[in-house]
Amino acid sequence: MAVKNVQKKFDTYVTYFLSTAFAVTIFFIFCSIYFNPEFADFHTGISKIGIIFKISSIIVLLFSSVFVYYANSLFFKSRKKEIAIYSLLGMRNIEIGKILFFETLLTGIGSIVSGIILGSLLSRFFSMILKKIMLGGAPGNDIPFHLTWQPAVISVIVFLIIFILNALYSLRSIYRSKLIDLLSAEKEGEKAPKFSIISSVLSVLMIVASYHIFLNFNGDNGGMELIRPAMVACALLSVGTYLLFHNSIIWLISRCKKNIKFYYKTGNFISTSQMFYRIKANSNIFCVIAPLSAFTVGIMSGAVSFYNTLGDAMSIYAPYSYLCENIDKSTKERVMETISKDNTIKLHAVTDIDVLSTSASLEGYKVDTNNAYEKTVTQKGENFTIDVVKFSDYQKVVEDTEAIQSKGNKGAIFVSELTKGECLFLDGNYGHDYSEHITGNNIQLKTDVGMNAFKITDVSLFKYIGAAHARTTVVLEDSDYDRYFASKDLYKICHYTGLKLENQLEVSALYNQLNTIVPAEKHDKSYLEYHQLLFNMYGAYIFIGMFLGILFLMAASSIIFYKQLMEARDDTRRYEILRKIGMSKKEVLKSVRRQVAVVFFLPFMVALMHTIVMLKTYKNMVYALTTDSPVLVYALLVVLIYFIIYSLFYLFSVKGYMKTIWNKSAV
Amino acid sequence: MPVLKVENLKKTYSSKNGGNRYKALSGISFEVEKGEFVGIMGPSGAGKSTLLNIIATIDEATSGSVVIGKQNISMMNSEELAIFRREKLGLMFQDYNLLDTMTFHENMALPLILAKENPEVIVQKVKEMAGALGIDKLLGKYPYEVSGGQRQRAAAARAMISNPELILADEPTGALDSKSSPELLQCLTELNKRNTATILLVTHDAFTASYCKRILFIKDGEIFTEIDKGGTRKEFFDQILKVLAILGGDNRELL
Repeated sequence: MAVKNVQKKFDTYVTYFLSTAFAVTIFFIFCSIYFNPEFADFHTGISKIGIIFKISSIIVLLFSSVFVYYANSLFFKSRKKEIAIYSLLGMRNIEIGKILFFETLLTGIGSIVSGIILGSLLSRFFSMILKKIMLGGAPGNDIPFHLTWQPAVISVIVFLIIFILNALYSLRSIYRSKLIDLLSAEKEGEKAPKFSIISSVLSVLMIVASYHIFLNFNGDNGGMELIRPAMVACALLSVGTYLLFHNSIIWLISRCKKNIKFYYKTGNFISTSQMFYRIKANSNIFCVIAPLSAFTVGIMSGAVSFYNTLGDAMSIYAPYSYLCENIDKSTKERVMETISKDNTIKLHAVTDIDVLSTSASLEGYKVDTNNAYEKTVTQKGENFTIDVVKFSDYQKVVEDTEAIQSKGNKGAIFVSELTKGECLFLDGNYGHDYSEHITGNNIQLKTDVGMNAFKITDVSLFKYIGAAHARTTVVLEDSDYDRYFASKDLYKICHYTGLKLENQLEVSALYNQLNTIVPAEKHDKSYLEYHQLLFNMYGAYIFIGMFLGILFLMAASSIIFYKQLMEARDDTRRYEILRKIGMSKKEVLKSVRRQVAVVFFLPFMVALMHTIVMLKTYKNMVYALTTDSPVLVYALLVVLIYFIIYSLFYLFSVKGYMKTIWNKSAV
Repeated sequence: MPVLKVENLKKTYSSKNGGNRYKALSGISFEVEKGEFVGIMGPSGAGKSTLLNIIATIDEATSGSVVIGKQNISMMNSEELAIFRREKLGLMFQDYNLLDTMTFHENMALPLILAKENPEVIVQKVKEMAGALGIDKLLGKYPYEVSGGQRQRAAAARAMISNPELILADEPTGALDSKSSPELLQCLTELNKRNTATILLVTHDAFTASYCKRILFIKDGEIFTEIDKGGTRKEFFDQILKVLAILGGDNRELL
């Protein structure tokens, strides 16, 4: 009988089946990426990515279950009448329950199987995307098609459990519901909740407070220090949003109802009164949708813009393709020979630069001691280590590394002239706070004749030879430098040789060769290695961000979609009455459109507001790293895509709603 | 000029595969003049409700014509019918058909809102109508908060508020107790007198029918006979009972 049922009510089953199969697919894809040997780092060892992947899979699972739950309860609701008729015909609860249980299980198994099949087809596609993201434009091998048994087994087990739970839930509903509930038409309306001024004011205050906390996040602070305010802000935001919806919506709708000029319009009347009738359920769903959407849009636009700025950040880590330190003449000759032998390599420039390590004192300058996220302000006369560089050398570095063109070098100093007695100050720290007020101050360098003062004309965070080597540096005018250079016992000299290649991502063979020539302690990681390091680590984060974003988007939209369809089912009788009174299909459509639009787009607006604040926060956080990344442009793009998908769901909902209420009341 | 003119109306139900044809109406013709209060009676299955549904434009006839005012409803499409329904007809049903999501006030205002009436006029008219039907104190209540009789009065108010040419009532007292029924019928009678509203009422209850001025009896899809109210309601009631006795079949409710 269960099999027969599935065959009969095909339509309802298709919707149910598709959505559950979708949930399985998503989960399976996630699992198969996790278990793909290509990304073995994810689950071997205790890498951060592995942990994040694990947490994410739990989130994916959670959402899949919510998804299945919603699909199941709509499915169950749509069949209440059928169940009631079985019951009336004298079928015992246990028998009905059995039928329903096996039906749920049957469709469940069906969707697991098709979800896994679809998932294995799509997982390759997604792995390729991930791989591409992790390569970040560098050439790499294709991912072979892997089918491992773990993701399939895990998906089967997990979803079997979910489906059994759902089947049990249906079973329980049958036992609990009385026949009269299943059949009866008239229901009591929800009591309109009371509007309270205090909590609405409170809600606005809470949201503003959380915005304030978010916007005052300091990117220079460590992650640990931010956790507590972040949690407080999130809590404030959630509670504030909850209160906002529970009060302001009531207030808004009541106002709409009181304003008869607005209310007594055909299009507004039905939709507003329906909204008011369901006000509690609606504001509950708003509370879920708004933060979810905000989170999604935030995560996705953050991920997209972060990924796009990732390449820019390369110039901070590796301004040169290959950087050697203190190599002797013969080594350098061999290096150059190797390069000239290979004609696929296009050498852009070679820079030789001396960096003098000494000590200086500077009032008001803070040194990041780098281990405790503490800033200490140096006092007058207190010494700290500093590098000294010749201005003409510095200019050559700037030119050879194309520092001016590169977007990553925020606040680099590209002055063309430097007067005697003046200097440029290149802060080795990563934030502005350390060297904020030192422009114009005098830096004291120890020379033979005592302390020698140089006036700081400009300050920047420019990492001229890469973050690994660029300590706090002072650039002296050539003659000043030469004079200083003469007093040999004051400093330690360090000679850098930087190679800048034009096709620096495609010459991994050359880097390997160079690594054999130059001793390991005398060269830095190559550009390619830095690139891989950066993109491997952040690529995975970004992928997860995008993946979760898409999942949340689908979840948010389909939750509303299901909710609307469920409401439509309840509304069928009401629209039948309206039809009898003489409401035309056009008018009903108009009314339904408005009603559904409010449910879809009101939380979206609030979400957008939250998102803007979150993006601003994000921007503040990454500000220290690179030049102004066009976060808002990417955010706009993401919002646009989100909006389009969301709108599609809106259209589906309106269509589904109309189909439910209009076809059934056809006389 | 009659308000309603039904001519040779036929309705045949047939199952999808063509077999099993069932004649609900087999050629009914009658007219209703303005200001009349006409009852339609007959045993179950005689085709009363089918007739009313066709007149109410929510069902289609197989053949024949229904002219309300000057318009032939069988010539209109569904969009026109919807507008026609709300402008020319007022409908009452056995199960009230009030919207449970709306207060009495809103339920009554509904036809006027659909007709895009001025909001102030709507408020005014709702108040007047509620006063006339004695439910002005219940305007803020939801249907589930009040009794069946009160609900049916609100439904009557909704049917009449837009001053329709024809009010169609399908077993309006069907779900009411013996106390609420006469109250409602009294209201209808008064509205009929005062506003010269034309009412067509379907019932199988002789007591309800006795409030009408004229009664059509239907049997097996045809008009069986027709009686006019001559004297008092009591006399008319007895007259109805006699006809029903001849009609047979459905008189068990009278005992």
